[in-house]
Amino acid sequence: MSLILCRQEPVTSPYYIEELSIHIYSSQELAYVIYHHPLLVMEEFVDGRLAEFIRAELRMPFLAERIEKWIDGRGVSDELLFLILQETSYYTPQEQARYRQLVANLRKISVDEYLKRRADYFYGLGLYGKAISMYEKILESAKEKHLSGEFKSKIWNNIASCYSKLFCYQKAMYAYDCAWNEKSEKVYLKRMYFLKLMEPELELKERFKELIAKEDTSAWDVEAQGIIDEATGAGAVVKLSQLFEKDPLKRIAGAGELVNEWKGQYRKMM
Amino acid sequence: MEKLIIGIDLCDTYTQVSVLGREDVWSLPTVICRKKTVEEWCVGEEAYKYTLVGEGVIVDKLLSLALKDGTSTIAQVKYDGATLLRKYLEKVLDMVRAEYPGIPVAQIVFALKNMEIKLMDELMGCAEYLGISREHVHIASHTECFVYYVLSQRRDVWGGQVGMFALSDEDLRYYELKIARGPRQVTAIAEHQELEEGFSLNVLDTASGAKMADKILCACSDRMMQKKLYSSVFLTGKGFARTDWAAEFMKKVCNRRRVFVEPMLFAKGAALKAEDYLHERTSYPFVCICEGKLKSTVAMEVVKHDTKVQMALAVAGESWYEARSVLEVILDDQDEIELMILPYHDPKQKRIVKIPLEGFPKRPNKTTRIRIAAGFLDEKTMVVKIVDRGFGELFPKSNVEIRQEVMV
Repeated sequence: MSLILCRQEPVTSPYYIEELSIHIYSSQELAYVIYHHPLLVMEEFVDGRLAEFIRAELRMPFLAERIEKWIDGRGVSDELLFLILQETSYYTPQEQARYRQLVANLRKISVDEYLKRRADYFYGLGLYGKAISMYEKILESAKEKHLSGEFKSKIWNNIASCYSKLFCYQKAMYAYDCAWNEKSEKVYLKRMYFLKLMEPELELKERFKELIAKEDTSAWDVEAQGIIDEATGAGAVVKLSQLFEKDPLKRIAGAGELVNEWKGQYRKMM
Repeated sequence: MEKLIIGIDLCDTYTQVSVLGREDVWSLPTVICRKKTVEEWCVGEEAYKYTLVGEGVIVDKLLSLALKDGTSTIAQVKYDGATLLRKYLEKVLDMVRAEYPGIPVAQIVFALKNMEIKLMDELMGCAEYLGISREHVHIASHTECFVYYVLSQRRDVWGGQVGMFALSDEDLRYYELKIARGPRQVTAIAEHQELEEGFSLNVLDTASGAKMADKILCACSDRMMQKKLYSSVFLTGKGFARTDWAAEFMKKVCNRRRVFVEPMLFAKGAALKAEDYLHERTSYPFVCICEGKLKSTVAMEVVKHDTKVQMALAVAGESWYEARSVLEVILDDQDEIELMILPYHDPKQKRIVKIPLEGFPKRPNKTTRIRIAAGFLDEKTMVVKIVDRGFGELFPKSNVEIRQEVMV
């Protein structure tokens, strides 16, 4: 139990982290991002722009200089992340040690697994476009080296999931098809079936139709109906219905705001 | 003279104004008069003059009037106490500026008999109204001005104990100053006592009245000074402008002691304090514990660069009126604020005051930043305001805040 004293950091131009869509206003927030988002910061995070922010806004010129010198002399390294954590004094030495261990463990895993974890991390952030390109890179590298069918099927599944989130159902269907080709798991059939429910114009291949039993479709229909019912009562849907109950002027203004919000969210996903 | 350094002893009945570097001190009754036919104001003796000839309406006890939100109606216009006090001080400053045309005011210290926050706020407001920036205006108690005046004298004057009688139309007070030399710092501890035997100075106009007053002072000196050893004794106030009426008292008090008579001591002490604000390093390197100053340090334990340290919100010896501090901390597995109150006289009698952070949003550990602001309502009442600042855009702030009064 303690109180951590905050430095005087009158930040006027905050540091924008695009992936998280947030501005950073203090050294503690910077340390927090580093600590909680290792897969984000382990690549291309510490750079000249960050060093300049540390110097000019966080008023830590010595740290900024050390970072710049390190980058000039030895290139970007995880050590820079540890250095920032140490200098900001937001995390205890024990917490810093745990973080070191975590980063070291991530560095030890295979390149493909590491790339998949990064892509999964971006998927978790809702950056589906970025995640897709990372998954595709893994698949491209598979042409030169052997990757297990199971691993590749997982990658295709995740790509399909990304496309679904982006409302690109055709591409999602294709990705599930590929996932099935790598490893024939029933769950892919179910997902393809759900895609067809969402987008009736989609065609489910004959070979898949033959593999789906009648009792499966009955159970999946029930499940899908449950999801639809749940979604109907969701806050966002209720809010939308309420908006359309308002008088025309308010409705148009509200709808405009909402559409802009959705556009922003979609752009971020892409 | 390039800058005006002014000390103003402001009382309900009289005002004394001292300008550093000027031997004479202005002394005038704290009264203001408005002419009946035009809105023209005059103060002091001039105010009496216009009133006596029936051309003006006088208002006295201006401090009390401002303190109790009183009003006065002159020529069918209602003036509140604060306005009259402003006009009064404006005229007083005009009087000073007339003698030093074109010279800017660098510092003003008001010496007050009683440190009441309302009056102090009014005075700061007056200064702003008069175009003097708040940072150039300070307020000190009579006791503190006494300390500054005495410590500006030669060292042998204050090497031991120093006593002082202040006699005015308002009251009779006894002041005492002791210097404690510690290993790290020197402390000036001063206090005063209001003596019940105070009398109107009009009694000095008759021989019998003067004799009685002399007897009263003798009794007071016997009681207050007893057989204590003094480096010096001071006599101040209008009552000691002349001392021929107090032959017995003077004989008693001057016996094997050095006695100084300085009727304008508070105004001069205030001017000396005002001058000290202009120096980068103080000429009075001591901690002053007296009326108007904090007698305890209020601190909190915080972690700075992985080390636990004590961070002071207010330090003993600081003026409670000017003592303000703000700091920001992040809660690390903590849902209350713990303040340590360390009395100056005995830091071992440490007291802990806990302020629970009720109603603050629940967030992951270390993602709640709070701003702690502390100020004082009087010498013993600290106000602590704790505001939720969130954690940037990661965990946006709420509007939750706590205000708590802490007795120190």
